[in-house]
Amino acid sequence: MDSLILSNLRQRPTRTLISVSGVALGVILVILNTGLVRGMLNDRIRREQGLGAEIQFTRKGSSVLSPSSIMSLDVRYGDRLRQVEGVRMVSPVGRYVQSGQSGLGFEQVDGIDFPSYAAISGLKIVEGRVFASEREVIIDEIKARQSKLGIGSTIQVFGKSLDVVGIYGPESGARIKMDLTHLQNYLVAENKCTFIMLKVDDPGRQQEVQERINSELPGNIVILTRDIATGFGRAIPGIDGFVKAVLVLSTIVSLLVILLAMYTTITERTREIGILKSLGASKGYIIGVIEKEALTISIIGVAAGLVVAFAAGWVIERMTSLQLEFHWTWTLMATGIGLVAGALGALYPAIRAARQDAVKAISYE
Amino acid sequence: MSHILLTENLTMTYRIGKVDVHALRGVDLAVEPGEFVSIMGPSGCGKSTLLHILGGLLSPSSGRVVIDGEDLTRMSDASRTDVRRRKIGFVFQRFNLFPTLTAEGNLRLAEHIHGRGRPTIDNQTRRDVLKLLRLENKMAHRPLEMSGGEQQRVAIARAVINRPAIILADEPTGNLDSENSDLVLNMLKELNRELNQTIVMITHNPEAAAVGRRMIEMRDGAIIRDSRQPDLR
Repeated sequence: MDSLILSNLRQRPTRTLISVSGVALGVILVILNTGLVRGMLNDRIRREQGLGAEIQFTRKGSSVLSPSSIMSLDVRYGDRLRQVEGVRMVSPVGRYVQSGQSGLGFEQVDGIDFPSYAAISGLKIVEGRVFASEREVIIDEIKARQSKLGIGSTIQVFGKSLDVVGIYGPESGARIKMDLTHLQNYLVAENKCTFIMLKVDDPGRQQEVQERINSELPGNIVILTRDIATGFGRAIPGIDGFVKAVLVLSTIVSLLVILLAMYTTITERTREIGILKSLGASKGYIIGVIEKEALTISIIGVAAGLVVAFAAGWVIERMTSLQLEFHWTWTLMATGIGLVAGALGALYPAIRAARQDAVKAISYE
Repeated sequence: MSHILLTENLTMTYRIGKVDVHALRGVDLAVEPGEFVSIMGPSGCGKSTLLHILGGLLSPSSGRVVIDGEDLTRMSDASRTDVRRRKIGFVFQRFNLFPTLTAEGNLRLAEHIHGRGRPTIDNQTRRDVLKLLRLENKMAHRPLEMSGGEQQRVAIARAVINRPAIILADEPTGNLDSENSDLVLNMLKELNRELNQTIVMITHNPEAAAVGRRMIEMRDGAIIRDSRQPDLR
């Protein structure tokens, strides 16, 4: 029987290739989309937590969690926050979001007050110097490596070519940073920022400080940085729904491709099914032949899909600012989807084949 | 002697639109082990319907079919399929080999189905059958790489390889020229003689029918003549 299945696959290479591609497409969709969502979220979480601040203070519509460029928070809140008991340091940050340099994805630019920001986050210039004019930015080491940028390179911000004058580490917040005042000037938002970073005296009592700020400055958003890990999932509306939609879509694509391929196959091979019946093949045997063929296609499709997805992920990370993070659970999920969709897609054609009238099938032209 | 094949008052009526077509009208037939029976008759006389019923591919409207002691007419479709697997070998006019498989692959598939995935044929039996049908050198060939006569010999090998109780041959020479027809008929005769293989062959060709040691003539769904030739072995 194995020989029958393999010879059928070899005999119809175009059909086999299309079927394998269909299953592979489903796997690629799952791996890349979940990898992208996971990679981008975790990258942002990691960098937000790298800020070194225990608390972030912001206003509605100017959330640190949302990918917007609205700066609606007055920097003078910093003076008020500094007076709250338990707050040691504050640093206002303006955040601007623009499309990625390669045209894919997006990237953020933080406007910072360098001394206070560096004091809270531990940020250090590892090469070059800090920005001094409106036309100067600093970038982190990862951005420099990924985008092959160095001191003297230029980078597009606000549609202008700004000079890279320094490279810093470790990563925290946006990968491109400029002076907050200059960012305010570009965005015509004098004295405004997106959020204020707060360093507390005793990290063990950060929740008490959070409650204190909430009671003294009600109506604002006061987030503990440690809660941001769960915050992003909520902050990007429908992200869970998106991932689920990708899973459903992938399953449907794989299922339909296999269903159509196997349906065509059993129509083409009506006579052969008749021969199997004349040889005494049971319905279960015939269903088994069709299912094994579909599963063989699915296994090849899953393998091809995984290879292409991981290769594409590698290329995407190197050519764009997008971050991908693959996880074995999603790899397993994609494999499961490919195989289950293949088996389910072939089930109806297989049952139909098994139920065919033997005499009519043998006489089929 | 116990019958390898027995039919009693077999009838088959097809309903076409509002008209009943009587394909078989009370066929009684008993075949003994080792017999080579030719069933002859013009097109539409019911011989193909009879063969399909004997092979369990069709259910009769009434009557009994017993193959090697198993009553097909009292069985479910699944059980009839199982009897076909264990006891019946088919040879068709159009060879009906799997085009994607080699001759070897076609035989292996039949063995696989017969043995439900387990090998049941010993190498000696296999060698004997291939030698008898002069197919030893054709095993690596696909059907399209073989002549019609060779394809039909592979089809016969496939039918006989599992040593069925009975071979049902449906116009086995219908698609062959006279030279290949003679070759195939001689091989069926040899199988019958050497392996004592029971064969029921339908044909509309009197010359082909003459190969059988027993000739049955059908007309309008009924047997009108049943004659035995003297054994010339």
